[in-house]
Amino acid sequence: MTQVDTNSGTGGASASPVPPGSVPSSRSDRAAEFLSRWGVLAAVILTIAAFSALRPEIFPTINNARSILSLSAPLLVATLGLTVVLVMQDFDLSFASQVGLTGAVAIVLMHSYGWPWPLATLVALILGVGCGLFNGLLVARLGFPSFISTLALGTLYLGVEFQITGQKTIFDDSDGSIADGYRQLAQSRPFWSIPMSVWVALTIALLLWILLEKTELGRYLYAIGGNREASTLSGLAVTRIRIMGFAIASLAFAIAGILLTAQSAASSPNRGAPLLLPAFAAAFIGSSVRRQGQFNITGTVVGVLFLQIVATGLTMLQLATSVVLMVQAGILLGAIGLSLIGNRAR
Amino acid sequence: MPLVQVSGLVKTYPGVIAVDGVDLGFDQAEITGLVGKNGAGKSTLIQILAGAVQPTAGTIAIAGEEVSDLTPHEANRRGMSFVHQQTVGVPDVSVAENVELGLGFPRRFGFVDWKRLNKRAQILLDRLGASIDPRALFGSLSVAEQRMVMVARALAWDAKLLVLDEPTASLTDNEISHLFTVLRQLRADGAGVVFVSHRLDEVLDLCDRTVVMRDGVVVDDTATKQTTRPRLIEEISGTGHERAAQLDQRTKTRRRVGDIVLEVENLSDGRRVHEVSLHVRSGEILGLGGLAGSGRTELVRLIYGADRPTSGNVFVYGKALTDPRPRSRLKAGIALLPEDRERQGTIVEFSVSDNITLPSLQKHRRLPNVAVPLRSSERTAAQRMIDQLAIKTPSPQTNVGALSGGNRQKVMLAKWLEHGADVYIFDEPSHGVDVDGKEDIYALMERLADDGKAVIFISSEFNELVGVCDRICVLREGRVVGELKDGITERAIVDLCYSHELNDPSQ
Repeated sequence: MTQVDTNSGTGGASASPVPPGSVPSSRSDRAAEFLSRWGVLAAVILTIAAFSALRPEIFPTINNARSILSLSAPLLVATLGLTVVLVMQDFDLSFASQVGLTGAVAIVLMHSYGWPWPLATLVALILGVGCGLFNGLLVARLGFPSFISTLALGTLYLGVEFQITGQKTIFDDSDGSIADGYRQLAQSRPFWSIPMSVWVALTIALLLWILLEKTELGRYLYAIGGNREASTLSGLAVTRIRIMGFAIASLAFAIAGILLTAQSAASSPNRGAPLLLPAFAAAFIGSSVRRQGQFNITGTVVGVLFLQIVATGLTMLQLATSVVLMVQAGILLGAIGLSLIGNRAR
Repeated sequence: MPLVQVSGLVKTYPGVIAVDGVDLGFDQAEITGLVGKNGAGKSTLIQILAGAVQPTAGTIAIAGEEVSDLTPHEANRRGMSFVHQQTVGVPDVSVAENVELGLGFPRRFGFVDWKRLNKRAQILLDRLGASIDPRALFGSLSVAEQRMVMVARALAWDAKLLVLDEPTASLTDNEISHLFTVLRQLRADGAGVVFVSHRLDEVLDLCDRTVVMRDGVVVDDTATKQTTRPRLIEEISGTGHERAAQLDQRTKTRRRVGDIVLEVENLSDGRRVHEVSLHVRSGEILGLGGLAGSGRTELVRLIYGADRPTSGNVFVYGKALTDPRPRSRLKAGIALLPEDRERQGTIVEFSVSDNITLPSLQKHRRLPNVAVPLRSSERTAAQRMIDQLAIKTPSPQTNVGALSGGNRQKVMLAKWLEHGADVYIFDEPSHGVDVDGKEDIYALMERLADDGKAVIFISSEFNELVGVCDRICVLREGRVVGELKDGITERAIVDLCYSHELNDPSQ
């Protein structure tokens, strides 16, 4: 925690008010910061304890843990990508459509055109990066506001997906048109019976953690998110870096799309849509573990797991969907409120 | 009984006394001129009258009735109307709507009567001799036109006291003379007018009475007939400042001034900067003097590539710089320390260390081809800078947001020293910094010059310029109006700042 000796400043008489990012001054502020930093972790543990108590025979099991991990893998990959965009203080609301589009393209190439799966996968990845470059170009180079323009771009990508798939569910008609190798991308279990999708997600988490925390590019992305104008005036190639950020994020979205369709060996229309809210929610929850409230990879991983634990636990309680939705919303708002308390303290 | 009377008015901000015990009355049928340097307290006084700022102490009486907790709404209701320095109009609606905003639009069958609305606005604009279409979008107007609309808006209220803060900046001579006619007419109708301006000739021409403020107090209040331009300048600049005395005693050792490092040729941005040419040499501190809005910040932003010029050239060591972006200007050796430390100069949620190494991160790679900075190397560099510049911070990992203004200024300088540059441009570096911090900053600028760097120093506190600079260029309305070299005095700078003539050919 940052300490400040108020007497040590050259100017005790700084004319400007103390800006955000300064230090909690009172005891209640410190308590709030503590609550927000550790609150999310506490919430995860409490939730696990609660579900374990309510469903002791099925919730606290290795199998359930595996299932939670594998269910959360595609969401995790997408949210990791989203985190990169959020670090720059930009939005990418088109990511869900990118997930759907790239997954569908891989399936269609194999199913309708008989492409070998590695090639189809590669094309899907390249398409993803293309979407990211396009988003980045519009937002960073041409100055389109990212919130509203990525909303429009999402609609565009959804339209393209529907054009390609005819808005139909495409699956293997037991003719082997969706290659086994493709399914294995998500379904094989290389170690400890944990599916490949989880290993892919963890690898991407590690890579993006290194990118954001350890590399020059990561520092620049945080700098741009912290203050774009100061970054420009510090000589950073802000436009280029932002475009790269969008492209890296979109590569992750494409991987999420591939994992989703490999998991089910099928493509259904607008497959990414259910990820939209949870991904943003998870990233925001994750941002509260950082002192400055910045988006970060570790927090995102915790946030995604938290959401999936809640979702799985609520399913096991066999509550009506209506109740599940309401409880889920309540938990989300609670977690966001928790991070807000911390942000105010800051 | 005066229309408005303030007594014992005090306004303090943390570390600053903006208004320090002011007693002033404004009468009906009188035009009062209010003059003084930036920071003299004029704007704060007006904001208090407008109800936008609450005084720390003192009273305001309107028509003999003491009013506590004055709000903008209450100020309007009691017959005061304001034209602020910054236009506060709604850009997305028409001129007529802006003029009558808050007055209640004329209605017909319950709907807005646009014809009548436009006509009323037209009458007011005609009175001002402004050829502005009431139906035009406010945002589509030029700055001068917008200001005229705001004057019309103030007139629409039929105010008993009309307060205008720098209304003539960027107006044409024709518009100014129309405005003056209207103001004189208002006086004849019994209204009081307060006219705040940096243009002394206008004040002498228009006002019945002239009030000079300096350092938060009224230092002169006389009938305009009995005062003169030299006397006003004398009062505005003041004599015997303790700070000035202190600064004058600085032993200015003449540095060996070398070759021209930075040269600017006919630089314009089409709005605030007009054909500025200047140069600065190695080992030289060039001061840029001027009043707020004189275009100094805009000029250095053009030099640094933060904004694009419409014409003109910038040379470093005789080589023209073509790429107008901060990134390439920095590579050419120019470094800017912006005035707004929070929004432009630092990243407040980054640590001191991360701020210092941001532009030179590549120097700290573990392996030359792998873009992964080595934390320990960064910390060593940051610590070296912290020691060298005596930055007061608990640790290199402390957030810059937690530092005082003076130390943030030093972090900005440390960032550029780490990166390296030949020209250092300081925009109001001592703004909001206490006395010791200021001395540190002056010493650092001098050290840079001693090391053969070229330094440009912008300040609104002219005693600083006098104390530190080898040479001073004074800007007014986006142009260099004079250069001072030997025996520079504060008085001479003030003189140049106020050298505006009504018939200035540049207008």
